[in-house]
Amino acid sequence: MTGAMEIPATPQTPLIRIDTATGVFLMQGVCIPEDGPGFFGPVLTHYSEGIDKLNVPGIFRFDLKYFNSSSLKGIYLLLKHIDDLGNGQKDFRVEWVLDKDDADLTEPAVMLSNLISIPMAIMLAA
Amino acid sequence: MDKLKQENAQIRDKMFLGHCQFLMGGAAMWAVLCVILGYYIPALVPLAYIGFTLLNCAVKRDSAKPHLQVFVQMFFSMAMPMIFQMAMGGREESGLVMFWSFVPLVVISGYYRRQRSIFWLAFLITAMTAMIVYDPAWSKGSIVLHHGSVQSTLLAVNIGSVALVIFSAALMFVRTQGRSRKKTYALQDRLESAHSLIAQRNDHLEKSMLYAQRIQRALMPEQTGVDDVFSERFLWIKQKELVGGDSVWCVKKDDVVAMALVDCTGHGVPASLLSVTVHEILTNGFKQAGVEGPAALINFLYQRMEARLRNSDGLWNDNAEIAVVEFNRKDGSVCFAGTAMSMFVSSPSGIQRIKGAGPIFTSDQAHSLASQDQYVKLDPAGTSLYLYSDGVVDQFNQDRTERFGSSRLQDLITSVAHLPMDRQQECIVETMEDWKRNAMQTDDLTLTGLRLSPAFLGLSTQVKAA
Repeated sequence: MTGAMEIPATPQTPLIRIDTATGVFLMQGVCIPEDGPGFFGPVLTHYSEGIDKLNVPGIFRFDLKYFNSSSLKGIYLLLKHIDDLGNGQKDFRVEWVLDKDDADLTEPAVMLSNLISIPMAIMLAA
Repeated sequence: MDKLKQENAQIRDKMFLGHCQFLMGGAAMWAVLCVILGYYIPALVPLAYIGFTLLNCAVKRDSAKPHLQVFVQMFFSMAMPMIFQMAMGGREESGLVMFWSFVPLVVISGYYRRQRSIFWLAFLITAMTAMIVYDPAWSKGSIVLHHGSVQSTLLAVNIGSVALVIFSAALMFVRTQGRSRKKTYALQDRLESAHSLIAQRNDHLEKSMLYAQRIQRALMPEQTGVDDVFSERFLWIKQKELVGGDSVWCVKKDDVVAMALVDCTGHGVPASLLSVTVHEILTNGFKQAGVEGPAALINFLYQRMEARLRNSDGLWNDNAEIAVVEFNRKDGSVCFAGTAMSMFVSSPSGIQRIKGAGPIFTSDQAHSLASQDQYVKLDPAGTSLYLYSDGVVDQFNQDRTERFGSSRLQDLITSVAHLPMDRQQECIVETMEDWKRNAMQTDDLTLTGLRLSPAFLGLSTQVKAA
């Protein structure tokens, strides 16, 4: 896989765009899938394939307006997987974009950053 | 709609080809007639038309703008009989061969939009009128047929063949209409039977869900038996669907009343099944296994859930967020622990939010919860507790621009805390409905308010005094 891979957004699931040329793995929109494991399973595979082909630093950007609790677990599993694939050797970083400065939204991001070894930057949407 | 457009394009292509074939057939017939009668130069007109049509059809096949080829074809299909009439020496000499111009007009009205057909009709009337008016002017210098009876024969041939072609086109149209009607009726029948099947299944599903809803409601704690702990309380559960993942669990054992608000992942049937499993594990842990303390009970729950619900892929996908509160009737203490859940404690001196731990993803994380029991400071003058699921704070407004949020909920509870509990529920529901308006419900919603009884609040004072 070279260049970009994209899964379009739906009312329940976010846009997934993996660009191995720039190293940006983007997850953007709302994430409230009816079948959380059914959605995150293929996403995990796409991320793994993208990471395999990566020759530049990997940037994992999560720009989620809203996600439910089962998605939070899916995101955690995805981050753990990325963490394991990087094995502390690869130049990876996570960018967590917040819609607004809201404690309810910041808390899960901080909690996730404590559970992984990849550095995570929590930033406000431009 | 795309399928309909595609089908229409196919029909138009078919009609176009059909009209080309009709006209080429007529042109070939005329070319042969001319050759037989010895009029070699006029024979070039129908032959040129055949050549042009074949070329145009070939170009149209790969063309990016096929409508251009159609337009040019229509023009020459109408003009060719008129040019041919001129070449033959006028209307009388050719036996009104320009009748053939009606053929493309009949075909065109079958597959062009009405406006375009009207344009071609106007073109035909104008051209034919011109042909009739100017006929004597150019017919003088043209070829004149040798035998008087030939003109009558040609007129008969023209009228007969054009009538035959038009009749065939009309017959084809009627047959196509008939087939299309048959197809429509068959489709309607299939749609009706599919609709009836869906309605039947939907009805069955709805009845089954209503029954499941009754069962889930029955599983909620009874309102009696804990009157010495609570003087008043309300429980507002609004699942996203008929059944859902939000539930309240309440069990007594000796002097301890344990209550939990559980929010299982997802919503609908899967989440409701999960909530039943969670209730069973909690009851088992609290009553049979003798687990003491809310955090230990939550830890017990996660260990059991992981063991029971681990999938074939080795992942433990199903989860629950939970808040557990234990009320001790012996010493009047209230102890709280939660994962991804908080509790508001309201008293005359103000409102406080007690935060639980973060969400638990693995049973290893659940182990670290053991030391996270939090004793609630009670105000003997009056203390109320409020537990809520994330569906309340995650509810978007109508424009989907803002979530209700924890701070807004805290302000709302502060503003209604002095009211009787049933009135509080009314105000909260009203505010939430006003916030949501026509927006979709984001998740299952649960909010419960518990006003501790003066007798229970007095217990802690007595214990301290003793």
